[in-house]
Amino acid sequence: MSDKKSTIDFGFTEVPLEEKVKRVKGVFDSVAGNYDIMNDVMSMGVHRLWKRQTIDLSGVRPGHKVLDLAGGTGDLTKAFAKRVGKSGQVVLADINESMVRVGRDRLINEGIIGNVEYTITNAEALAFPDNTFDLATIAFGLRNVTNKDKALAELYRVLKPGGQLMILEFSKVTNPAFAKLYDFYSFNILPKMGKVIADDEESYQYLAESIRMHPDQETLKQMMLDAGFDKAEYLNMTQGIVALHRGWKY
Amino acid sequence: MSTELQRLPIFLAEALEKTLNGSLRLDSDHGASIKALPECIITLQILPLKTPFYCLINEQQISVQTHLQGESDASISAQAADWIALKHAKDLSCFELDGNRDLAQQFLHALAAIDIDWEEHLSKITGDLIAFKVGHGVRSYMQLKRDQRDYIMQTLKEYLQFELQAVPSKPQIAAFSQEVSAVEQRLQELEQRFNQLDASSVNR
Ligand SMILES: C[S@@+](CC[C@H](N)C(=O)[O-])C[C@H]1O[C@@H](n2cnc3c(N)ncnc32)[C@H](O)[C@@H]1O
Repeated sequence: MSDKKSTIDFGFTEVPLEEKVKRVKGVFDSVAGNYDIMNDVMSMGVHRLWKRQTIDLSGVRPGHKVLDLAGGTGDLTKAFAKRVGKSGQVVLADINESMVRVGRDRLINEGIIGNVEYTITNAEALAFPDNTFDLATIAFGLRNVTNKDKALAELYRVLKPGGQLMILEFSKVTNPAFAKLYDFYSFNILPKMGKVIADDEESYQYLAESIRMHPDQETLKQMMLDAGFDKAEYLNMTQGIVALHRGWKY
Repeated sequence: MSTELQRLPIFLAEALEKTLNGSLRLDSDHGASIKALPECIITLQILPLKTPFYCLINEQQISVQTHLQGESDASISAQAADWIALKHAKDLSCFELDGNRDLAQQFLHALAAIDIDWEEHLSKITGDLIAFKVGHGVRSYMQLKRDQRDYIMQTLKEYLQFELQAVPSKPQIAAFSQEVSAVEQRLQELEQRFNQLDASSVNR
């Protein structure tokens, strides 16, 4: 008999493994249209700073090939597309068609055309050859992935030698007093805002819970090394509400 | 170093990016000379700031960042004061060029030709950076915000008062309340007279 765990967390609830993908899809189907507004409200605009710092630290340059995994509505894709220029390329990959559609329409509207490709892909089984990308990012996406180890191994596989992975994700708040305040915000205020703005309390409840179930800074760093990365490090942002993990393939 | 201090140069890069692209948009020929450059990276060094600003140039826009994988194609280095004087400079010898010097020269001339208010931008950057470094960063940002807000409120107030006359000014309110007091006074007098009349008719 296999002793493999047959259930997985969906927020604070345990669900059968295959059920999580479906449920996560449901959450993002339901938030897609309001996603950008909610992002601003939820993080009080700070997500822009976290993303800007990620883009800057990437050191990306014209000609680079970039994978924006779980790219959603395309914030990072947009910034990278401007930087890699005509000689480079950005692939926005996401499991959810609704999010990709919102993202693609938005980027086309903003004149980002020609060097962006859109694909529907599960992070656990990337449809790209080995050694394809100079840079891969996954922003606020990894915590939704059912088998994170598999996704990390896939990301390692598709990176070129010398390539870099950047994971931007909610993490563990380092200051205990601030952690209390943050908990109150996440579990009491955030779902209510989800209700008022998007009429969708449950999805935002899930978002808050999934953040708490995500591995903390050190655990994720170790997972990256276990997945094959030759070097891994992280940087806390806003007291550890978010951490940026970076891994290199040599 | 705290993440906030690490983030400061990134804010500056973002501000520089906005200034450059904003100036390109407003330029009479939309910065054609910059857009004519090949896709390339040019480092701007604004001394005494140590942070290099990497300008990623393509035909659409300039992106500015403080980190770069690999080398840039060329670099231009000068004191903040020289950047400020760039628009009116006849002699560009104080700008130190490195790497692909032709490219750097082309970029520098193109920058000189478009109307960038370096002074406003750099005084903010250097002012804020120095303020931040001596620990007054937060206060100066707050003050800047407050000044901006006060300025906006003042402008809005003036606009509403004098242009639309939608909101009464203080003297207008004073005049109005004087009128109200006068009416009130007259009403009281009237009421008194009415009561008197009323009383005398009852007594009769
Ligand atoms: C919170 S959004 C983040 C979007 C974008 N990266 C950003 O930062 O704004 C999370 C995204 O992860 C995607 N996602 C969830 N599970 C995934 C999986 N297994 N593979 C690929 N994408 C996934 C969702 O569809 C959603 O678009």
